[in-house]
Amino acid sequence: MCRVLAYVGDPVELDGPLFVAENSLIRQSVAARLMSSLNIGGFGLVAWEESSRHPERPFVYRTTSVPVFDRNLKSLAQKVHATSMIAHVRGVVYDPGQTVGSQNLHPFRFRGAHVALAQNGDLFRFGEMRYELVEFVGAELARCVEGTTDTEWVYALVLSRLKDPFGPASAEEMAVAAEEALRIIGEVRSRHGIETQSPVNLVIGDGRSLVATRFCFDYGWYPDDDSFFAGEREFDYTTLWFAVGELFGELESGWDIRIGEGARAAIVASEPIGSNSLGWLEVPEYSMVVITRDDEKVSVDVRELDL
Amino acid sequence: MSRLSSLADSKLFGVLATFVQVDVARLMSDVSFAAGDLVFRQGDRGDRLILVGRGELEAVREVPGAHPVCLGSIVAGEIVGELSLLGDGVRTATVRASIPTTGWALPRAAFDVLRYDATPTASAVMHAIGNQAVQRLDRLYRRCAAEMKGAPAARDSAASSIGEVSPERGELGYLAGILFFRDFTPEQIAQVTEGLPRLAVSRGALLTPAGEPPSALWVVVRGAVETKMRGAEATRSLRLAGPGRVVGHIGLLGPEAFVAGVESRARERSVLIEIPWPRVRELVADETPPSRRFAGALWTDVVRALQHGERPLSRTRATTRVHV
Repeated sequence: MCRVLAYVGDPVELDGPLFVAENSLIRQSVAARLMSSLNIGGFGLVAWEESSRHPERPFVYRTTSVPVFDRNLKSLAQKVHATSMIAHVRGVVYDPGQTVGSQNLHPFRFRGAHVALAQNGDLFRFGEMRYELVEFVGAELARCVEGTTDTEWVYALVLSRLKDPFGPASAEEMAVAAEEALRIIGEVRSRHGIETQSPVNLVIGDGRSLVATRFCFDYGWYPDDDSFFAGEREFDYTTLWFAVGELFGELESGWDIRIGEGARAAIVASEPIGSNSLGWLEVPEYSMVVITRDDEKVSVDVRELDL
Repeated sequence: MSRLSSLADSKLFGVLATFVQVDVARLMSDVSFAAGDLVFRQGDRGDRLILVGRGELEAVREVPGAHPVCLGSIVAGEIVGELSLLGDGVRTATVRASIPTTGWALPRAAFDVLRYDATPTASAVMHAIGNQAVQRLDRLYRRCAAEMKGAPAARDSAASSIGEVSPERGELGYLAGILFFRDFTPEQIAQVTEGLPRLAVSRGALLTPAGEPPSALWVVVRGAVETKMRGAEATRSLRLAGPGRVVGHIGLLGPEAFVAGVESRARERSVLIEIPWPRVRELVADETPPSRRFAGALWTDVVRALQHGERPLSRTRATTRVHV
């Protein structure tokens, strides 16, 4: 299973959430607090900066190497400021069937598309569903899929639900697209008789808004095998947290959220990245958080996903 | 005051038999704090309880960007952090010594030794902590109801069913791997669950409608049941009980339990073991090893449910849609 982190708000130096915070994303890649194990299959980042040239085009970085030893990432993170970003550490199980390569690194963003997506989840028996999704995705988007992950297909499915799959999308449009994508996946699972627990925590963004789901198909129906997902585990409903505040930065207690009068920044993450969970809220199971930024203020709406 | 007499005077341990107090006292170690010393930090994992012998501790709720909110003082003879002996949650408050304070700590690791052996002492302590946790759960429900505005919006009725099924093949082996039965031997699981109905519950089926007390206690075998409080504008999840978790704890309080606006509904198609209340009371009162295991698992799950309910969880916008 993976770890994900997304931000929207006033410009923030990427070094903070990626490296400096006590439970930063890179720290989670070697010692996650809310997950038993993580085998790293790579790291990916898309980051937008409003005042940059072509602000709709994100800065993109992907590597299959272990991010904790990545000096390039560290020095870039100390330089780059972003008004929005989605970062992701890919977790893979020890299995020769896994494909570790740059084509499988999240966040996914097809060439020219405004919207990007990362996932913290795993669709059980996805291989049986893959080509059936072409019916919903359409040939143009299906041709863009380069890798072998379930996430890239979910991404294509979400894009296919937007008015313009490659154009800008409002937060509401992304939220509806995510919900429709989950509904379609549910239908295809039913057709194949797939009734095993499959978490689907999606994080979707376009540089101005973020949509994140905390969802699981058939929670509590574990696979009957010896895999990582078999049997009851602590945090077996994949975690997702968020925090909204005046700013994120270096505080007395370390790099974390500062809650003040204004809501100018928001973070969504698999787990709180500060020294503790103070100021963070857990996204309820079976729900979606929609974060929009207008006039430098962020607003948050948490909705039930009653699929 | 001695460790034993402080225990005997405490609200939590005072009601227990002398031999229990003696056993617990043996497991405790001396602690002392200077004024201002940190005892627990909010958000940290709980790993011990503290019985204050002399002095005073202060509990505060930390709020980022604002002054901490004082929750109260813990004075000589009082206990703080007792849920950490059973639950696996995090501290919900920061505790510091207001003045030089001495007392005794009971570490979870030491208590676990008694717990795994299901000794009468462990049983008695777990019962006492579990009872407190049920009372706190009731207070949590009341607090949430007071914060929720207006009557819940009407919900579409969903086609759903609840029916009795035979135990699945190999059930015993599966049960031994889930949370509730983890400390049981296979024989103990068989003894406790023998003759109890297994229910197949469709997604969306209502186990306990809002305003009604739970008609039984249910252990989730597969799937998940969610207990929620619904208001006109928002809903608050109180607990998502997946495999090995229990639904209906509040029924332990009988007719006094607060149930207004609280409903329990299958969030996934589920398989449950239904335990009628007379059988629950029998198992909790009985002193045989299987019953002690049952009671221990139940009290532990009450604490988990309380910690789950108290977690810093966002509310969701109310919805009237039900798709099943």
